[in-house]
Amino acid sequence: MKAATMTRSGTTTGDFAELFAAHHAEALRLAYLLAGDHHRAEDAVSEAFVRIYRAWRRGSIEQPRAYIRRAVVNEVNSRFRRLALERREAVRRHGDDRGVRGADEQVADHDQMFTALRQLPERQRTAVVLRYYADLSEAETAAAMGVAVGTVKSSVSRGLDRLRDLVKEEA
Amino acid sequence: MRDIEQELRESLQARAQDVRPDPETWNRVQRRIRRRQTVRVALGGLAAAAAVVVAAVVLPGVLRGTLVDIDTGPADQPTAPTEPVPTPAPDAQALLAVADEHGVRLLGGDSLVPGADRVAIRPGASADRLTVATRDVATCALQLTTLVDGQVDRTQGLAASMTDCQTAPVWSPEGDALAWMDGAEVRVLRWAGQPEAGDAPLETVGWPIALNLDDARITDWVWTVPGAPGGPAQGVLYLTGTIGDGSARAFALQIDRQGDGAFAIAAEAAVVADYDVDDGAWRVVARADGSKARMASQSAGLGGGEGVEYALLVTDTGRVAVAGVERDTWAYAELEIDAATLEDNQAWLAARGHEVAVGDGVGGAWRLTLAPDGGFSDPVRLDGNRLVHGDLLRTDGQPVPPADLGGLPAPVADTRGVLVGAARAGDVEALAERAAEDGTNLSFGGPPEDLVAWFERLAEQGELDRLAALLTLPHAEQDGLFVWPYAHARDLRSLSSAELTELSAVAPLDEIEQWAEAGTGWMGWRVGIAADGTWAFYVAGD
Repeated sequence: MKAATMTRSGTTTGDFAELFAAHHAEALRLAYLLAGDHHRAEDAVSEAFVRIYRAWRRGSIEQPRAYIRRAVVNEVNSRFRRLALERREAVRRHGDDRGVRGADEQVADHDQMFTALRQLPERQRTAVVLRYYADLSEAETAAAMGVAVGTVKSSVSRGLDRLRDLVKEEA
Repeated sequence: MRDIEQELRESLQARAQDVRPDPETWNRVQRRIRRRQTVRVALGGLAAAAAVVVAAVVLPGVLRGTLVDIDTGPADQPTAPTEPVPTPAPDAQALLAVADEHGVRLLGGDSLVPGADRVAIRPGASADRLTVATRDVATCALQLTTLVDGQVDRTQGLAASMTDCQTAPVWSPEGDALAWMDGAEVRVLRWAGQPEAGDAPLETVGWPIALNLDDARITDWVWTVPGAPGGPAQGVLYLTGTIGDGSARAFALQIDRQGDGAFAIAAEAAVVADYDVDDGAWRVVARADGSKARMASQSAGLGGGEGVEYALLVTDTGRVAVAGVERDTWAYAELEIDAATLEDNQAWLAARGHEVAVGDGVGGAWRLTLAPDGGFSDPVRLDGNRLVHGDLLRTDGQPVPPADLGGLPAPVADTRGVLVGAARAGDVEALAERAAEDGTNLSFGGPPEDLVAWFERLAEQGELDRLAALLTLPHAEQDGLFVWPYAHARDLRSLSSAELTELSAVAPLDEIEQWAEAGTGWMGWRVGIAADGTWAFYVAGD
């Protein structure tokens, strides 16, 4: 039997453990496809679940799967943005660091398609992964990304065009 | 050739199947949850305002592209009032719109915006005609509702947020835009027309910012260099949130309104206040507009307007206090709020001028007035049905005036706003045109023949950014003119180290020290504006 601690709202961490167990693997796989790095994905998913916990305690999660998906997308993408900003700031302070590749960039990857996917801009990559891995509809993808359906359509279309070009270049 | 979509699907599925969840992750999640709860409890042990530390002035000009380290300076206790606080005008008494378990209503009234848990009143509202932006916590949806004579006149859906479902958006001072945090992004929705008349918003724009904050919320939007409506202006969005180690901070984020009315937000923010878990000290800094008011904050709440700032503090007894700061005048009052109710940052503070409303987010709410002698009136408990959020409006229907600009007459403030906007936009034609109109002295050797070319050369040298930074420093009055920087009217040997640091944004520090040593006075770029708004000079050198 799971240890359970009562919280203010009368729910238990045991309940949350069940929620975690049910959705962790799926969340991690989505995070990995978005981040391209296992360690980064695990960390982002951990953080996403800490945030989810707060909402869950308030009882404001009606559709856990969609909520978790959205939280994971946000966490991964916000980390990408911070990383990009940190790099830009580092370049500004210390000069151009082209040629220096961070660990996250050194993903040894022989999968052309996956390598190409990582080269897509954040929004296109997210839209493509949600549509072709999570198999979400355009409306569901839009909800997960917090953008309009039209944005999803254009992001997927451009993402696929770019993937075609990148795979062709590699070939 | 195989279909790219099929190939993509197979690649993603194959990759995903290789991912093996780490069994340690659940323990990591539990540790993080426990750690943040522990930090919240530790906040209850804080001696409220026990060690207030005055820090260097944070300037909007310094905010752009720079993360500002706060010089904590000497310890300082909150002091007794040194100047009387102006008496609020009778017609400027605020009313309170509240959100409770049934929706939004005016306190004492019956009108309701059902399904709303957070409320932000559009500036310019009156009790008869009230436009509110509301958020439904359950769906995260933002909605705009206009109430006329207490009845819902019009409702418009605005946007849904991905991650911030808990906080109200913040209106621009003119009520033509709304801002809120969405994860690591600041989002701004703006109108060209009248939102209360049902005009659709023009756009929603998001800016990712370089902050890793939990529970980030925008608490206030002030123009530090206001301009004409819809024209160039420069200001600050105040944010609060907790950072990775669980400590709470307030940030200032620069926001510019450009010539076309669109907004731009800097990616980097400056720390304006933080709570250090290790030494238990509140660090209080000057306002980002350069005036000397002090401000304290934790993520529980922060609000202000009209040159007054308020913050919620946690006392060493575990109770919650509200502190009001107007330049060197402090007010402080303890409320019957148990600090434990601050969990999840649901406590709220709404303020307009000298009126303050505070709620614990779970049912209790209080109202206070900052009195002329600097103290607070006794907190009055508000009746309500478990009030969960509130916002204030003025009964005179006038927009809340912009932040105090340190005593600048309106024509001077206008000119300063125009110059800062044009300099930031690199609008050399606008600067040249204004200089020609005002007969601005631009050179001791006679006016340049081609003003546009002259400003273009300055732009190429990066001097226009410096012009904007110069005008965001505090000013001095000299020979009937308002001059920037203030050092121009000072003996440079009397400058403090904090002032030298501040001035190094507009002139090399070693040059300032050379001028001080040689007794030449300020030889760097300087600007003078006459009381009627005429741009008198913009010169450098002897």
